[in-house]
Amino acid sequence: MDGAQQRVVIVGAGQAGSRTALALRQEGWQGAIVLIGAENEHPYERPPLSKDVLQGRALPGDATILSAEQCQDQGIELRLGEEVRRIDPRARRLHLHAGRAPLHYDHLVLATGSRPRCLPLPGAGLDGVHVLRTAADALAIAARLEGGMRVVLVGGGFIGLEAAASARLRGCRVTVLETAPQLMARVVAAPIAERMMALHRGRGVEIRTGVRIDGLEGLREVRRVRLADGSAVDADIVILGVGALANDGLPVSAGIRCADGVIVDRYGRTSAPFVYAAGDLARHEQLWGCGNVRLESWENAELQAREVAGALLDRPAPERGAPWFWTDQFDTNLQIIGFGRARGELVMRGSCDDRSWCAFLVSDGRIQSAVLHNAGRERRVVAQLIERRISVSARDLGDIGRPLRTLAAAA
Amino acid sequence: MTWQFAAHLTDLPPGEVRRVMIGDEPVALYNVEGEIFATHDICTHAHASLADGYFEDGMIECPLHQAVFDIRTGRVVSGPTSRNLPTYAVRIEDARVLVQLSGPGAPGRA
Repeated sequence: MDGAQQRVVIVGAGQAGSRTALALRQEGWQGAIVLIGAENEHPYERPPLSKDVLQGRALPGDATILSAEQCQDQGIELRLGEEVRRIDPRARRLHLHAGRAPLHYDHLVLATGSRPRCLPLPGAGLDGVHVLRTAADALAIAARLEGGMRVVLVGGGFIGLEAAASARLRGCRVTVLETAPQLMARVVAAPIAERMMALHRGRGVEIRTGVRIDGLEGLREVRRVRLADGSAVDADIVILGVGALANDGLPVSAGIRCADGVIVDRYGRTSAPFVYAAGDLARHEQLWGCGNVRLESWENAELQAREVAGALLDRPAPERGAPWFWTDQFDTNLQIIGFGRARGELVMRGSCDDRSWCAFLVSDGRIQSAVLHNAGRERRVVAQLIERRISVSARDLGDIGRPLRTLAAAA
Repeated sequence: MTWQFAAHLTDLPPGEVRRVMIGDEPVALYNVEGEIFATHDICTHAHASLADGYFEDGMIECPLHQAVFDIRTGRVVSGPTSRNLPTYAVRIEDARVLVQLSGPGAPGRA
């Protein structure tokens, strides 16, 4: 094997990039691995940032993915705080910042992730206006969350609601502003969003949906959020959680096919030979029956890391099942299997007022997607019902006296 | 090195996992085809009771975020954590399950 002489360079040391490095070693890659990260911290998990880190219960470093020790053990050359200027796919070379020699690669994995979308609003540049993406972002916000602070979340998606819960748990006065008529509109059906809204309101979070924001006001520091109806919400801190954009500047300038994200096949291959992409950056041509999707999820980064490693070693990873997402808000754990906005009839298993319940979107006698509310124990069997396209009746699904595994077994 | 009572064997059917408290320590007991194993009950990733998770083939999956542990060794098999799960020595005496909370495999040594 000439693989031992080859070099994989991974650009981006978040979940997708670091896990690709580890997966390559696990799968037996003998050659060099260079992992380049723009941030200065060792690679860390992002999910705790909006929860444990904002709540002051953990530091980003508590969830390190790749320690110095692991890098040494695994033979991974980690370069932190380094910037890649340009990719030359023909010469298979990366140009780094001034003064550094270009870096040759045999295979290149792009995992530069995504960045928070900024709103073109007056006042968005005021002090006290934050986004939440990196360890540094989370620490900066966490340092300011004290009892009585007025925190306004712009955006009622996962990030906004998780941050709202964390701020509330720290005694802040919290308002969530959402433009859409419902919360988490991209990921769950309206009745589920309503349940989550009730959870937040019950814990003292003020939520306003269907609002339009005109701007942020203040002299140097943000003081209030001005709405289109003329009203205003006072604020000491504003956190923008209005989605993310792919960091695809490098591949775009290198002529690699992109459309808010690098377009990849199911092995993470891009339009350029020897170039792969993984994680938030990748836009899947096809995924779980959906065309043209970019997934910003922990699971996607994890699985795509393995898929890319497998493709590089000519050992294809198994085909993916239904996508899986989770969010933790207050003491509620919400898991989504499949695409939560699939079409179908909503079937409840258990009552929305209970602590634990499941909701299914069913069409043609098959579950298209499911939401598990404090019911992670059912995840395996629900995933099985969905992935094996097992025929189910709404009545059986809704019958809590009938264990779900009997439905899977009966098929 | 004390052996402490954890459960009656008859309360642990094969293929099942159960949470018990031994003093202040939440412990998960597993029956793998008649053989009993014990681990710490709280996932090393987030605060969740593993006994509420999905148990199959000697693996426990956390109900919150899918961390999977091999219950014999406590090792992480997959999922969002790299911290292994503490395991405890188990002994059966007169159909009683006894667990040793200190000693090899106890928290801090895993």
